Amino acid sequence: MHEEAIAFGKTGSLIGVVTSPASSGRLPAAILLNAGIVHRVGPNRLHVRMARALAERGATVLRFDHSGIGDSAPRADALPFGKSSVAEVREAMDWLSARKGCTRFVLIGLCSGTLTAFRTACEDNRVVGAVLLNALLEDPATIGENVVAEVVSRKVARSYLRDKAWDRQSWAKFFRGAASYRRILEVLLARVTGWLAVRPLPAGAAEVARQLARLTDQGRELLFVYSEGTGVLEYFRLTLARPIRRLRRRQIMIQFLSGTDHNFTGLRHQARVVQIASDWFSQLAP
Amino acid sequence: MLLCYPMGHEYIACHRALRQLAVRLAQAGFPALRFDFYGSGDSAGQPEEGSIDGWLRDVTHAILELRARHGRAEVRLAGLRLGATLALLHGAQTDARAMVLWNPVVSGRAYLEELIAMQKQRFPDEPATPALEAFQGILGFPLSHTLRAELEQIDLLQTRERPARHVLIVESGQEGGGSALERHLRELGVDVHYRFLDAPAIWRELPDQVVVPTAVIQLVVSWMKQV
Repeated sequence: MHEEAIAFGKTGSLIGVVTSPASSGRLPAAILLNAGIVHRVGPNRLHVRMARALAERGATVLRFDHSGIGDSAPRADALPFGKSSVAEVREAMDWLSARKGCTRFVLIGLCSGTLTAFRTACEDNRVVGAVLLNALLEDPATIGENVVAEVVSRKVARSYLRDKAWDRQSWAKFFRGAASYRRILEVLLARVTGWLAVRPLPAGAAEVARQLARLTDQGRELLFVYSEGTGVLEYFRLTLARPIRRLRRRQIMIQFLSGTDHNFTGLRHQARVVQIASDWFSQLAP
Repeated sequence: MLLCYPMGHEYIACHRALRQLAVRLAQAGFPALRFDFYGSGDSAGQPEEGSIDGWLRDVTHAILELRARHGRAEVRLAGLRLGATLALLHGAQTDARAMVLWNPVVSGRAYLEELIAMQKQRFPDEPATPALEAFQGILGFPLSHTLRAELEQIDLLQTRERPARHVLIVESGQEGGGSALERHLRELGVDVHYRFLDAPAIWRELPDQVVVPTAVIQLVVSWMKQV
């Protein structure tokens, strides 16, 4: 395995590290995207672990910093992040294509990186798959406040169900607390009756569902991994879970990890996420 | 200038701030090298393979690299948190002209207590590490028993050699023995200055709330210019 620091992009100001395998297999290349404003090593250095694990399996891996994050210079133009982030991933693919001969790519995102991965996949056919860790596939600023409140209520209710069902003090707090009691009761009832989704699907989520159908029609493969107890998982359950189930696409795999936070901070959880992603990667069609 | 990062989860939170410091130092005429210690950041190795001795050797390599690239004999060091501790411990070997210690870890024991307390506070449901495991998870990073034992031995108030001729100790947002270190270094014959700034203790921030304390950066750069 070999690692090298690179500078790429139109102005040569995007900084990344390429991990090259000892012997190239026929796997696609992987690109790890920034999680929020954390630089290319990833929260808890997860991206470094992930890159090296994938390279062990024979993949070429690039982890880089979007402009203005980590060691990459800020952009000189006024392109909004939603557009510049996608453009920069495409420049990363251009570099890997020109210098390493890669033609197919898997994008790996955590939290906000999942949105960039998804958007790029929708725009660029070179992306054959994506690993979406605690995914939110819409700009959170566009999600209605009523939906956000719904997500919070569900998160609270679920955590009470899971953790505090037999704790009398917690039940007392529950009824005194500030969360919407009605919504919490509805969620609890829904849990019993099996009804979970909000109808109709908010427009943004409906569009994402359509895009997921299109991506899988084209044969792209998607791995979702969610941490139990996170707001993004509640949002997923509220919106995409049912449409995805109805799609019945073999190409969409969803896994859940419990007892961890949105960054998979616990050491064994980090190891588990890396294992899940590596195994999924290894079985991608050549 | 050689910049030494903190370790573990603190590295993630501080990355942006040290980059900004490097940029400002370079703009002020001081070429600055930031590097990742073995087992951290982009460098080779796993975190549990890191050791104080190994990291002190890394500082030596980094100084050689800096000299090779810029041909200047004089190297000054700046470190943040454990990076500052390592800079000081290394300093005795180089007798640098100037050194900046930003919230240095003065007592390894106190540092460990702080880390363990923060781990328990943020992850109360995480089970305690069984005694036979080689390392424990501290806020996402493995802390090996070896490193833990080395850290327990660190007490900068017991050092006997002058780390540099001129030292600036900056503590931002949190006092951690910086004043006591100032007195100790003065006794060793160092021209030492201590400043406390009401600025964020950035290494305590969660990774998604990365902050750059410009007041500290300005202070470091202006002090460097006049030393």
